[in-house]
Amino acid sequence: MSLKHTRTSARRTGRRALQPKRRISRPVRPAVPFPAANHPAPYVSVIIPAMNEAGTIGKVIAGAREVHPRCEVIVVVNGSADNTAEIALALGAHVIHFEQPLGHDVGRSVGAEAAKGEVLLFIDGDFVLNASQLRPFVAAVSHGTDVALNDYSGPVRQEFPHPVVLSKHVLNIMLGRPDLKGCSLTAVPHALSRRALASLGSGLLSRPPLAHAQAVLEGLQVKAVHKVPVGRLNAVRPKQAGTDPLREVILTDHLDAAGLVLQRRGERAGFIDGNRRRGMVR
Amino acid sequence: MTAAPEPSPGHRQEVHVSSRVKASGRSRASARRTRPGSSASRSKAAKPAAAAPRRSAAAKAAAVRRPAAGKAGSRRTAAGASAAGSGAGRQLPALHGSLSVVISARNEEQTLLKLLDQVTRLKPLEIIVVLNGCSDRSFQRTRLCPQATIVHIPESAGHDVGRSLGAKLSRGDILLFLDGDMVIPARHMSLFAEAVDGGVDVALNDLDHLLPPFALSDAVTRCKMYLNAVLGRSDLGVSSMTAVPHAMSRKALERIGYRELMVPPKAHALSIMRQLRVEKAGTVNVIKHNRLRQSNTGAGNAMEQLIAGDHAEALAQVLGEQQASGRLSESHLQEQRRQMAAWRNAL
Repeated sequence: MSLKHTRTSARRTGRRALQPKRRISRPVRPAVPFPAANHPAPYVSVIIPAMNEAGTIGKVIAGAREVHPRCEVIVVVNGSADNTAEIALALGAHVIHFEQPLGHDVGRSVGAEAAKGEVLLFIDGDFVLNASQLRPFVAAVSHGTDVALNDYSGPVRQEFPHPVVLSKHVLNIMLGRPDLKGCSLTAVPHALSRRALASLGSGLLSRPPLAHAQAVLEGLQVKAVHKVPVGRLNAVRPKQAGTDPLREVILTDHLDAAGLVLQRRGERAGFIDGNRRRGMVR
Repeated sequence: MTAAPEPSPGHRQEVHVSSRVKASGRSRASARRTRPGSSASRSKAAKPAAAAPRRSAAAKAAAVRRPAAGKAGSRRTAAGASAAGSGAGRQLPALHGSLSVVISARNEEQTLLKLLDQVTRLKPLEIIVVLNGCSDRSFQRTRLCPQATIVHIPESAGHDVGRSLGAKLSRGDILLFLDGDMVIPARHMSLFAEAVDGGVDVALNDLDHLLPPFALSDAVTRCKMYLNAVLGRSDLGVSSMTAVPHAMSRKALERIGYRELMVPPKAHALSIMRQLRVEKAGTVNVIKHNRLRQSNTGAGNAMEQLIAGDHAEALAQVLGEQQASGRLSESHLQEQRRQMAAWRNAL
């Protein structure tokens, strides 16, 4: 049986079936592999804080590399007892190494300090995302957004959400941005423009809710651009005597962020007071 | 909800009436349609208060009906009392302390008299009705209740300022706060007064099980929930002094300060921070019965903005307190972060 006239589908019958099958020529991206080293003049800086992430860091870096042809990967290894740093180095990343743990989210500040790109993309060392999940954030910033957030508000099906989810939502309400729902700089992935970094300062990035509030207060263009449901990807860590220290830190940061809003916009955070005549009651 | 006509005791009737109150045009019409089917006494009682002012043709009849309203009202009270005795099978429990009821109202001629009727059944020491910028006949309606002390503010003093004024004028041991826009059965109101009588300082309306999933909730609900969480009282859910009905003890009023009541979330925060006993006392579905106005519907409406601002004030209060106690100091924060990192690393 000749291979030439093999019926490939029910519709390929009759005269056309005798003609050779048309080849669709599709422009194929050249199979040039992204260089396994940082670009000397990067457009995108990918910042990856990592602590004992030897299991995932390789794949995380591989994903990050493909975000843009001019890309640098900065891995801030802190307090790691495993070979996270070695793996990152072998993959051509710029590794900033600290023996001691830096503290929650401090790695973001350190990475931002070292970044040379126009776009700063922040991801985490503990979950693997491929480049297609990350490119929308870079694209948004290249098109004028200053702060491109993950469009993920956390689990909101129950009547009473997790306190952190609640805090994020209310901070956005206080900022006059209820449209952002629970999206916040707290969650990765997110991207910042160089302008945003200059305006916020790298130090503030260690306390993401404050940076988030500051960005809105400064009038930067803050937008939720693409949804990556990171909630499911996050590692479940054991609670310490019933309390979750991470939760406490994040709640404190949110309360402080609310304080920042009040400081800048006044005691009512810029909201109307109706027509209250307060002097009537003395 | 349009209750099927049935031979009901007095309190049933109130459910029916209040469901009409919340109505937008559609359900209002349907409620009216069911009325002819209901008992004669019910329709008579409801008509002068509700139907007359709405119908233009009834303008002439209104003058005739107005004096009848008092009569109908008193007859209804009698019916209600008998219902409480026999139908519901329980009398409202007597309170040890004296009760002051503070009602704030703005153009509520439709409901005020019916509400006052229910309030009277609580046998309060006084009823203070604050008429805040009323341009309808609320004043005349309220005058029909002999016990009511009327505070008439011709030009609106703003949201919740009336509550604060009423509280200042009150003398009772227990203060029950109500809004003029919805009729609540006396036995429901009584729950809040009873709780305060039993030693609670602030007795709140519990709306927790009426909430939609968080994704669908409004800004006000989220703010209330957050304020309670920040105050370490997540158990209160969304209960707040923003919602009526609620009651408080005189001790609570003195400790909070009546002036603060004009910003209810702030008063709420103060009552918790000043170690008062704040508890949920009962559920009255104010979400369903709330009168829909242009200013309180839709996302980002004026009312939502106002209440968000109120919560901002409350948060400012909480933050001020925490700063004073040193919880937000820099060294404390660094220590917190270090502990956190160590804990993470141990994994």
